[in-house]
Amino acid sequence: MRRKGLRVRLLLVAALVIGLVGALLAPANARARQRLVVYTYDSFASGPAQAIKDGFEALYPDVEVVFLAPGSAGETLARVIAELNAGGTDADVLVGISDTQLPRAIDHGVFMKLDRSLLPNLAKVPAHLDFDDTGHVVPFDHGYVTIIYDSRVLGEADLPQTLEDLTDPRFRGKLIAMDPRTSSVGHAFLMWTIAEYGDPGYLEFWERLLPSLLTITGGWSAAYSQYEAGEAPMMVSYSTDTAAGVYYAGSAHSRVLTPKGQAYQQIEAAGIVAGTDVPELAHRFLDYLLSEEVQSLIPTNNWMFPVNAQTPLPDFFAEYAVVPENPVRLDPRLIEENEQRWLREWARLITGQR
Amino acid sequence: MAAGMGPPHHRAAVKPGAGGSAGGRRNLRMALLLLLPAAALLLFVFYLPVGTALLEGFREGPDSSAYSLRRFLSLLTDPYILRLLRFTAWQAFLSAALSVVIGLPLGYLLANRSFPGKSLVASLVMVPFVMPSITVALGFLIMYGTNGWFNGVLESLFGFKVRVLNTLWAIVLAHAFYNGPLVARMTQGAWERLDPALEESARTLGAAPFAVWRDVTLPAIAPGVLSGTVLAFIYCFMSFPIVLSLGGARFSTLEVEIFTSMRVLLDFETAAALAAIQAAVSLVFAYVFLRLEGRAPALFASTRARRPRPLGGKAGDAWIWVLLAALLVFFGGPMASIVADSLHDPRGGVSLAAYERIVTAGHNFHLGAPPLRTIQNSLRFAAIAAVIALVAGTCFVYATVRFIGRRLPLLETLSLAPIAVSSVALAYGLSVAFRGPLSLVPQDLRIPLVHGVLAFPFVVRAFRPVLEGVDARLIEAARTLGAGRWRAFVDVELPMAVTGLLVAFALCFGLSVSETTATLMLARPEQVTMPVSVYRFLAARDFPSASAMAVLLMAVTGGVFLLGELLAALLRRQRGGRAVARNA
Repeated sequence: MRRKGLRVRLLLVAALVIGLVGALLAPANARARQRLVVYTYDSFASGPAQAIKDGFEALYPDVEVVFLAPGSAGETLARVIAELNAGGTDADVLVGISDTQLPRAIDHGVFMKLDRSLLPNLAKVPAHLDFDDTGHVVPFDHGYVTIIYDSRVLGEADLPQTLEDLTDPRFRGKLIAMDPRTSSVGHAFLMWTIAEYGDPGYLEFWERLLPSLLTITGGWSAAYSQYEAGEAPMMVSYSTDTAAGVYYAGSAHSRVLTPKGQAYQQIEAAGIVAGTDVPELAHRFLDYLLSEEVQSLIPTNNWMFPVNAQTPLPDFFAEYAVVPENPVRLDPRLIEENEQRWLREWARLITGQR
Repeated sequence: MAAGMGPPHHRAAVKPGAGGSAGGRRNLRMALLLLLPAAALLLFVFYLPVGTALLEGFREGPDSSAYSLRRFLSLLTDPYILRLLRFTAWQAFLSAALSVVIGLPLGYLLANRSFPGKSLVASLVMVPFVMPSITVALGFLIMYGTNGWFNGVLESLFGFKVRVLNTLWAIVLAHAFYNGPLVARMTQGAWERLDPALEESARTLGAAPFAVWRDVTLPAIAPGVLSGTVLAFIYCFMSFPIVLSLGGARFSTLEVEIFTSMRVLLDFETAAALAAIQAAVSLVFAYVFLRLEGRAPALFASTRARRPRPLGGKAGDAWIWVLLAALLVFFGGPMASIVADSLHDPRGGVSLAAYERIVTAGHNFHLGAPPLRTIQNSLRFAAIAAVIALVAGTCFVYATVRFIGRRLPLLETLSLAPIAVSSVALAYGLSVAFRGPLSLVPQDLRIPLVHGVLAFPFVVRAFRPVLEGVDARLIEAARTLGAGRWRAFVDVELPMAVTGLLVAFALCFGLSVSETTATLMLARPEQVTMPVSVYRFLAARDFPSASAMAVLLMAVTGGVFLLGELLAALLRRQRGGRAVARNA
């Protein structure tokens, strides 16, 4: 009995000692590794993020990169702003702000000004992609929103040649679009129609387009599953979709349309969150994002185009991913000024039709 | 108040004044004590943080410190907003109605009939509750699409197809898919407590079957039906991903507008005002329902539970078999579609590759966490949330039913508020609060607390009709025989209310597992849950893995529900055995 009690006591003391030593050692270990918290959107987190984390940690062994994805790009920005409003965010870097969201993010004080001298790789980015003249963010990829079609259903001769052609009665119920209020792809398409038809001409266009729209879904996934199930032979999507179809399913039946050589250009950017305590590390991370090593991950992991002009593209990607001759873009400041009204007018038009 | 209720001597409550004024005071003290957990939970994790967020709706401008009603007035006089409100209420009404139409027969089957695999069916119909909306949308596409299973059968039998997808009907059907079981399970609890002797004696006295149903059965199950209906209505009132995925933007609800203001335009003031309007409207509807529920006389409290009749091969049972089959197709169809999709190889053929990918512990490329960890996270959050909600909810119901003894529609309405507030507004308010006044709450408890508060109304709605169905005279008898209040609760009320508690538990669990809006707003990087990983796989264009993950999510939660059912069946059998032994 006594011996057993002694052994229990000894075990307890040993556990206490181990616990204490562990408690003393653990934080020391943690302190040795600097943490860089990166907020991003979900498909970036499920795409290139892991490889970027591994690569950056290999370059800087005393750094731990933590990715956090609170949802879509809009939801990610909303979480950062909510946290800033509450007194501070964990985010050091925000990866994946669209050019159209940027003015609003800057107004909310999300980003600090960048020291561009710490970003040598920026020299490899063409000037027309480096869109932010306020110096808060750098672009890291870009892509094009346009119409894709099922080439097994629509023949070459049937295809629409312009946006206006989409309103033709022969395309009745043949197109799936996305809601610009809940989907960035849908948003880009609306901006394209505004660039093409002007304000308020875009509304008349949408009124003509309505009969051709089978549905306007909330997000890309829901639209794509309907398109793939054969509900409609056309949908609003990315110009890299054929390449993605070849990569995942070995089939190029989805083809990309560029009416009049056009498609709407989206540029995605990254910036350093104001109030970070590791600004220098964050700059190194942004520069790493622009390196060929990371940029070469962009095509097959994020299905966008790299911004670093020296990045080699995989052969099939170069073959199937379409770069339009005349990319369309609206000035982000113009979008910021009018977006609320545009979205409201659009929604009034659409909901008036039920 | 009292005018709307049954004769006072039929009330299911222990009369508050029974023991004289000292007893009355003791009852009041007990009631307040029991209300405490619910009050604390609702106040700190809901009313204060969310109220603060909604207060922004009154602010004159983003940087102004002046408050006024101006924004509300301009929104409420805007014909567009009014049209949205009208449509939102209309689709919620239709959805709640169809949920009742589907839920009532299902509730009948579960309460009155026994058949092989009943526990399995009972847990299967709860599974929609945990399915991510994008998964339900996919299930409905495969089931009801132009080239879907349903149209395939229609075409081969009758030579025509129907358009379901991208109409209002797709939305209403999907909402009933989610909420029909809710109505059924709430009804089941009340139905099981209806003393069969009442119906028998009515029949013996010569009442026609319909008259028995109208005068005895319906009033008895009404509280359960209304409880389920009110939840279904509020739930559909806030719906939005389902609406946009299956109906399209033509059918936008008010929640889409709130989402746009909050997440796209970053106009928190307008979002707050709209969310306040939405919550107010849906709570007014809820209040009306609860007043109706308050009118249902509580004279059916019984000591006897009914024994389900076996579903046999009699001619009269034929239509019930048909009904059961139809319900199985309605609920099982979209789920089976997801299973089929998860086995579909994009390169052609059938393959298990998606499952291999998601159960490989090392495969964390898409999720930032091993897939098995996401299951662990979901189950842990759900278990803690269920405990929180069950403790707070059962204490709340017990206090109002046994110690206060009157239905208090206003208090009940306030207890429903957590599910009536826009989830994006709620998530925003909470994420601010957890960095400010609630920053002391440990990280690991934050998500379960929020889920607990969201599940609380479900516990209240599920437990109340059942506890009211337990005759209070039984407790009095037990106490006369010397049992304490606690013993009486454990020995008498708890076993009789087991269905209600089980449903409450399943709802809490399901709600926590399926919640994503607040989870995404509060989660740390490693706190990825099952539905979040479904969305991650979709974002990565790995469609088979997304479906496989959804199947895993349905299987795991369905398994938990089934365990609960089996446990409850065991409890019921034991109790039944004891009752028989005592009678003998």
